[in-house]
Amino acid sequence: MMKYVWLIVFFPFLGFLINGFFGRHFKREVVATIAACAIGLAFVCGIYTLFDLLKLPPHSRVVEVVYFDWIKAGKLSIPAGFLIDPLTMVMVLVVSGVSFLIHIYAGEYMEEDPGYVRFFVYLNLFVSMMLTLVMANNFLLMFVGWEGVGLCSYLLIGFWFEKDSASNAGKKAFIVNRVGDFGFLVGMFIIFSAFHTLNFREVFEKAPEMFTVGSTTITLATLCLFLGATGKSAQIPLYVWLPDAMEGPTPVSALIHAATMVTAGVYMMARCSVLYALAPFSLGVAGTIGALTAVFAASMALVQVDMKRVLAYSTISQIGYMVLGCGVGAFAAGIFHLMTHAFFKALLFLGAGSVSHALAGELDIRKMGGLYKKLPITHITFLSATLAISGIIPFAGFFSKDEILFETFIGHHYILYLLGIVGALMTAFYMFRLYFIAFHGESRVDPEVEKHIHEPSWRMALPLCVLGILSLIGGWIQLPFFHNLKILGGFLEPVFHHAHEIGGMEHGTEVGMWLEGALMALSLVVALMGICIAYNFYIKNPELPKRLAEKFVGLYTLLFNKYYIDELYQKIVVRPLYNLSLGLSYVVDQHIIDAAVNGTGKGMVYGSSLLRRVNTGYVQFYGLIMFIGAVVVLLVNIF
Amino acid sequence: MIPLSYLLMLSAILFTIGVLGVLFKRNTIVIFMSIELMLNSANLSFVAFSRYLGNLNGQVYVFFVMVVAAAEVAIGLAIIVNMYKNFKSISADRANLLKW
Amino acid sequence: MEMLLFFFFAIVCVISSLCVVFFKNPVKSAISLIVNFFSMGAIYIILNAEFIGLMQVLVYAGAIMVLFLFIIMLLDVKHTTKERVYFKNNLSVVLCFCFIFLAIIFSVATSLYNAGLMKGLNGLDWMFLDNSNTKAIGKVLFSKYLLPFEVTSLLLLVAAIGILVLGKKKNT
Repeated sequence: MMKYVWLIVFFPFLGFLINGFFGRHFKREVVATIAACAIGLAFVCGIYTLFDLLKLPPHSRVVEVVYFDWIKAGKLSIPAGFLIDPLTMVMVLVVSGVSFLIHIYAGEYMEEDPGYVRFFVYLNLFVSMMLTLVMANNFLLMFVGWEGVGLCSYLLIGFWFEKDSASNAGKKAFIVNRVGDFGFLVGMFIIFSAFHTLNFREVFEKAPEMFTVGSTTITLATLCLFLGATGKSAQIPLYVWLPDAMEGPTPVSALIHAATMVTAGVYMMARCSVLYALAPFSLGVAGTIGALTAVFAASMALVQVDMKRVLAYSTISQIGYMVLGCGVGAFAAGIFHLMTHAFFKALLFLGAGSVSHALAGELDIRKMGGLYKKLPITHITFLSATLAISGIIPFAGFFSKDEILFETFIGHHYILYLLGIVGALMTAFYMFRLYFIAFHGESRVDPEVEKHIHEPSWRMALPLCVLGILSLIGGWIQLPFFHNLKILGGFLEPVFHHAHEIGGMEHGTEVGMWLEGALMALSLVVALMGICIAYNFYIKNPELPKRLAEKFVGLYTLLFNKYYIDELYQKIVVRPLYNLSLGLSYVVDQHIIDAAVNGTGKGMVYGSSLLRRVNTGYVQFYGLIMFIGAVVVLLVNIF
Repeated sequence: MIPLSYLLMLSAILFTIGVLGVLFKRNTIVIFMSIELMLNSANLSFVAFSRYLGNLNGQVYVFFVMVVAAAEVAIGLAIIVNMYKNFKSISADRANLLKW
Repeated sequence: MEMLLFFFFAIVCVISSLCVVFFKNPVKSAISLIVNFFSMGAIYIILNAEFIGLMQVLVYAGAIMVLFLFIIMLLDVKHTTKERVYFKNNLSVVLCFCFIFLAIIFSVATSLYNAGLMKGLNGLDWMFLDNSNTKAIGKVLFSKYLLPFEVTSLLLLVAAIGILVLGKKKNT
C-alpha cells in the first residue's frame, strides 16, 4: 500500500475533476455520491496505509515515498513525495473521516442551493489539498497544500458571492491568511539558506547537529513559521478572519473552520517539533499566544448572539489550547486535542446547521428556545458535543484538554496554566449558555417558523450520531494515569521522540499519580462550576444576565464589539495600505509607466511623421538620392 | 592613338550631363532621352576598354546593352503613353501619388 | 589626324548633349540627341569598332529616336511654365555632387593612364587576325555568348508582348 499512498490525495482530486467538468450533467444525488465516495475511498486507503504502517516496528515507522523530481534548479533540489508516519496517519484519518461525514451531511443540507455542484467541487478540491498538506515530505509541497486550502477557504466562504458580506468575508480570510503565508515563506527561506534542503527528514536530521538549542537562525525560522500558523489557525494577531468566515455555508464552517484547515498550523508545529525544540524562545512565544488567545476568544464568545459566531470564537479558543500544548512541548497532547476537537466542533457546527435548517435559516439564539422537544436527535448530539468541549468526564474533550493543562503545569508554566483554567471555566460557561438558550427555556421562535420545525432526514442525522458517539469515546485512546492506556501517545511517541530528547522533556518523569489526579479533579470542578453558573444565569434566573449587562455596560459593549479589534486593524493597516496603493497607482502607474509606454508610442508617431517626408513621390528626388549614393560608394572605394 | 583617359573623361562628362537631365527636366520623355544618353556614355566606356584591352568582350556587351536599351525604350514609351491617358499630362511632377 | 577628328566629334557630343538638356522644346531635344548619337557613332568608328558604330546609328538614331519622335508628336505636350513644386533649389547640391563624380572619374582615368596600364596598341590582334570587326564580333557572339544572345531574343519577345498589353484599349 505504501507505494499507492498517492491514491489518498488522488481520489478527492479525481472527484474534483469529475464533478468540475461533468457535474452539470449529473443529477444532484450523483454529484453528492461521487464527492462523498471520493472521500470515503481516501479514508479506506488511509486505513490500509495505517495497517501497513503498524506492521513496521514502532521505532522505524517512517516511510518516505518519493514520486518524482519536482524542482531542480542549481542548488535547489526538491523531490516531491509523501512522508508517512504516525502523525501523518492521525491527520489523514481525522481529515478524511470527518470530511466523509460532512459530505454526507452536506448532500442534504445544500439541497436547495443553485450552486450545488460548485459546492462539492470546491469541497473535494479542499480535501485533496488538505491531504497534500499533511502528507507532504517537504516544506514546499506542504506550502502548496497550505495555499490550496487557503484558496478553497476563500472560494467556499464566499460561496454565496452575491451577498456583499460573504464576498468581503472571503477576501478578508484570504488576505489575512496571506500575511501568515508571508511568515511561512520567510521561514522556508531561512530554513533553505541554513540547510540547503527543504525535505523534512533531512532538515530534522541535520538540525540538531548543526545548531545548538537556542540558536538565532532556528529561532527566527520557527518564529516566522509560527506567524504562518497564527494566520492559518486563527490565533492572535491574525484571527480576525474566522468569525467573518461564518458567512459561508454551515458544512464549510464545520469542515474547514473547525476540523481541518485551522488545524494546519498546529500540524505544522507538530511536524517541525525538532526545530521548535531547538528554539525554546519560539515555544514560549507560541505557548503564550496560545493561552492568551484561548482566554481572549472565550471572553468574546460570552456575549455573542449568533450561534455560529459563538462556535467560531470557541474554535479560536480551542486552537489556542492546541497551540499552548505544542508550546509547552506536549506535541502529542496538542494533536490529541486536535483530534477530539475535530469531532465535537464539527458536531457542534453540524448541529447548528440542523437547527438553522429546521428554523428556516435562523441563527440568532434570541429567537430560539425550547427546541429539545422538537429536535430530539439534534438535541442529544449537541449536548454530547457541549459536554465534550466543556471537559466533562468521560467525554472526549475532558481527556485531551486535561492532558494539555497537565503538561503545562508540570512544565512549570504556572501562569499559562492559570490562563488555561480560566479559559476552561469560560468555555464551559458559554457553551452551556448556548445550549440552554437554544434548547431550553421558553420558546422564542417565530410562530410562522415554528410550524415547520422538523428533524432532518437520515443523511443529516447519521453524521450527527456518528460524531456524537465519537465525542464520547474519542478520548478513550489516551487515558491518563497509566502508560499502557496512553495508546495515542505511544503511537505518536516515535515522531516526537527526537524533540523530547532535545528539549530535555523525556517523560519517563515519574510524576506522582496524585498530582495528576488532583489536577484532573481541579479541571473537572472548574468545568462544573462553569455549567452551574450558566444554569443559574439562564434557567433559574433569566433576568440575571440582563442586569449584569446593564451594570457593567462598558465591559459588555467592549466584549460585544469584539474589543473593536477589527476597527483597529482597519485604521492602522487597511487604510494606510489603501491610500498608499491609490497614491502609487496615480503617480507611478498613470504618470510614469503609462506615460512611458504612451510616450514611446507618441514618440514613434512623431519620429515617423518626420521621417516619412522622405517619400516625396517625385521620381527625380529618388533619382537624386540614388546618384548621391553611387557617388558616396565610389568615394568610399577610392579611399 | 587616343589615350584611354580622354575617352573615359568624355564618357564621364556625357554621363553627368545625362544625370542633370534626369534630375532637372519635367517632361518625362526628355527624362527618358537623358537616360539614353547615360546608357550611351556607358557604351562608349565599354568600347574604349575593349579597344585598349584587345578584347572583344566589351563590344559584345555593347551589343547586348543596345538590345536591352531598345526594348526598354519601347516599353517605357508605352508606359508614358498610358500615363498621358490617365493624367492628361506627362510632367514628372504629376506622378507623385506615392507621396506620404 | 585621329586626335583632331576625335576632338571634333567629342565636342559635338558634349554640345549636343547639353542641348538635349537645356532646350525646352522636346522636339529640339530629340533632334540634338540624334546629332549626339551620330557623333558617338563616328567616335566608335575612329576606335575601329565599325560594327558597333553602325549599330549605334541604325538602332539608336534610326529606330529608337524615331520612336521617341513619334511619341512626342502623338502626345500633345504643352510647354509647362508653372513653377516647380519640388526641386527648386537643389541645383547647387546636384552640381556639387556632379563635380565630385567628375573629379573621381578624372582622377581614376589619369592615374590609370599614368600607371602605364593602358598605352598604345597592346592587343589589337583581333584587328589583324580577322580584318573585320563585324566578323570578329560574329565569331565571339555565336560561340562564347550564344546563350545570352538567345536570351535576348526572348527578352525582345517579352518586350513586344508587354507593349501590346500596355497599349491595349480597354473595352470593358
